[in-house]
Amino acid sequence: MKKLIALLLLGTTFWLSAEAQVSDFLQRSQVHGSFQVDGQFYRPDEALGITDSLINGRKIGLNGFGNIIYSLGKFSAGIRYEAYLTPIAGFDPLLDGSGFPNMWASYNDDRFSITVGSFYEQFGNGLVLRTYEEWSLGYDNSINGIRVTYEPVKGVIFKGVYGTQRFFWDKYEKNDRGIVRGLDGEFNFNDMFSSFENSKIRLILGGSMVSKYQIDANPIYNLPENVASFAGRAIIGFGKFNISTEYAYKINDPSAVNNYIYKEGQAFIASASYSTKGLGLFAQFKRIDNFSFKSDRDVTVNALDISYLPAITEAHTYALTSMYPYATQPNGEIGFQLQLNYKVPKKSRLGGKYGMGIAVNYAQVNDIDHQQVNDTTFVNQRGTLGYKSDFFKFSDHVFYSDLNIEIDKKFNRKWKGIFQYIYQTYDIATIEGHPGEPIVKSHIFVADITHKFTTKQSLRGELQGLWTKEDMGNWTAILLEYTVSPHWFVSLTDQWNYGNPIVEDQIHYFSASFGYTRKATRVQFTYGRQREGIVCVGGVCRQVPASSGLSFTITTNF
Amino acid sequence: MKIIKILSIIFALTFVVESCDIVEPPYQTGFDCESGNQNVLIEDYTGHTCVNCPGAAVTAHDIKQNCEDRVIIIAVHAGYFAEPKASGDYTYDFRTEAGNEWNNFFGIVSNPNGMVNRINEEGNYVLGPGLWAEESFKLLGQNSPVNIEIHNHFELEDPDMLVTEITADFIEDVEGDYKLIVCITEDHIIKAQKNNDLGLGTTPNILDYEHMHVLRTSVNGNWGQDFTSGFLTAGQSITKTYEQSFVGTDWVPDNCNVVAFIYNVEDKSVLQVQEEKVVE
Repeated sequence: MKKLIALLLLGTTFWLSAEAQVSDFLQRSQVHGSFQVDGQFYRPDEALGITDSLINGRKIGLNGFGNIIYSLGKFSAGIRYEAYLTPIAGFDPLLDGSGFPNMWASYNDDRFSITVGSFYEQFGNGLVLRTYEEWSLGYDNSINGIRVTYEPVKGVIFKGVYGTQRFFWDKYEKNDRGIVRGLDGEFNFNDMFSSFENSKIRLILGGSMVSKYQIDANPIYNLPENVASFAGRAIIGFGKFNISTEYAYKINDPSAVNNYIYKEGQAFIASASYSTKGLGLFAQFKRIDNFSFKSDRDVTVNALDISYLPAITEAHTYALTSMYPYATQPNGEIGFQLQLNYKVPKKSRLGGKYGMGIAVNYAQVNDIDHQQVNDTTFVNQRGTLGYKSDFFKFSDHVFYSDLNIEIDKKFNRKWKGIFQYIYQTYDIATIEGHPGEPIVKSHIFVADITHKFTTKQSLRGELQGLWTKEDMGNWTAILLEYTVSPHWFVSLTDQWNYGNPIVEDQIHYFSASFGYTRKATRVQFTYGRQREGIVCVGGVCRQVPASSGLSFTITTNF
Repeated sequence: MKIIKILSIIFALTFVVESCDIVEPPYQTGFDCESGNQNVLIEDYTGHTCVNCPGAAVTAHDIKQNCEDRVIIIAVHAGYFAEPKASGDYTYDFRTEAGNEWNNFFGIVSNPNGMVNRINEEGNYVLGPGLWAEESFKLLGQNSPVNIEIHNHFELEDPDMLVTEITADFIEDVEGDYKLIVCITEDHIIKAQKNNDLGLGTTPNILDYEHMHVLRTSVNGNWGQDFTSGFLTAGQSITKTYEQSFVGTDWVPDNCNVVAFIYNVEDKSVLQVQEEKVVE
């Protein structure tokens, strides 16, 4: 009997102890995640040229993902599920499929971290390395491999990455694409030296090196199997001034994108800003010269990019202002951007009771200078050095220019508005690959007015106009959106291509949307037409074909 | 700690030095065209309004230049970019019935694209121009169980009637079902072509572009005719004769070629291919 009691006591103690440990384990564990499902039901639409045979039985497109991250103290791990069954029109058909493209585990100490599996990383501005995921483009160039970071002292951080990049659903197999290796070091002088900590001068210096290894299986050209790129960067701040700059250099990297030329690549980006109360000034300069850097030299699609070449043009958000977005030209471009933000003070004659915001932005991007390397070699002739180029010389060929003026004004407690005027020139032949088509010169005007009925109910209206003699001619767009915050909204839109030179193409693109948000979950349905166009994020673009039907989006996170 | 710093610097320097392959001229290397007897058929699916297609044509030409007779090119004008325009510089219709059917069957959805010996790799026949050289190089080193000879002449009584005689000599045993396709291609056709490569000519139009290896017709049907079935022993030879009239065409006999290839009916892969000028 005594033995039995002792055994019971021992068992209870063990059970309680185990339960406490499990309870402690669960309390310290955290799970976060997000889900999104985008779907589209297609229907024939004669006016848009969408017929049953074009749909070809493919009546539904669906893109979805689930992202789950688990963390326990210094350990974390994640898994990402994706399904493109079949991909929504405009997404790369190579995405067709479903599975778990990304899995990773990570250990983060105070000074040291290691990640294995799929990861995202950026060195500096990303000129020599940026891996990221952009759902709206169907783009993911994550690296599958190992990443290590080490912070020997405060303000100094070293990073190392090694692996292969994601290419849709193709698992890496020996020599089917390149291997990416990279090192980065960054020194934040204000953190490194206590005497600098409260200084008005802020200084960060950094340097990177990224190399790809890809076997040379090309029997015609003698290709470099190891292509290295180097970058140096500085961020300098003094009071209200800030300067940020990065220069990158890449050795010869003949590829399908640059027509297999052996010229070295260069990228340079510099920006300066000044801000004080009510006034902000920003200037930026960028030059790209033969700087497409992919981990497979034979790939031309939006995939396997190692380098990221940020856009320096304004990313517009309204339907007609974003009709002609600029896509970065990795083979060469030179441009600048100037921006002024001014807040007209409250109670001034112009500012009125609430003040008024004025933003003026001008951006221009030209082709770089190209000169023959010798008399017998054409510019960009494959299997040669390609061309020579003066670093700061702008060619006469303007890819894109954009002057935009925005006024943001609150009239009274119930009415506020945003007014925008834009003049754009857009070299559609280069940017969209429509040779022979003239440069699109467009004037665009937007009025965005919101009326608040109560603190929770508001009606927003947009009136937009785009006037051009080129491409599809004039457009107008109208939107009415009624919101009952924080849960409901309903909207009606119409985009009308009334100036299309082809009368049958003077189409109305009607659509109606309805959305419901509850906590972190949002559901939206849209029925109507979607016009053909281009979606760009950060200078990376994808084409969207015209479609008609019902679309929906469900998102949630926890 | 000092040792770690020194090792880190050594590691970083090694990484930098080992990661750079700066290539010095000459940038082009040569093919090995001697080993193997397998000839290569590059089908370049193209279109006159496709801006990137001149670059692909140069890729195919570069490969052919290395091994001349052992690389045979057919430029198949098909699909959206090959459609003739109602007016202007692009009214000429390069398309053919066979080309259109192949374009659909093999799933060529964009240009430029192509196939090398119609090899099916994991369900996909289509290769981008950047991969043609690599695939050709692999095949050129291999052996085919058959060699093809082509003899062409025009009928004395009917000078517009081409007679082509195709002889296949089997040097190894062959088993399976095979068909023979006989095509006419034409070189030196001067017509407009869209272009975006300054290195190859004016942009966006080269009005006097020299179109080469253009598929004109398949003499014996889009998918050819039965050639051999079952088991065939080494040493045997098969000869087929076809006729093709040039009446009612704008083809220039001096610029035309006969391309003949034997392919496996099951997977469509090319067993052997040969080309001969119409006027020998």
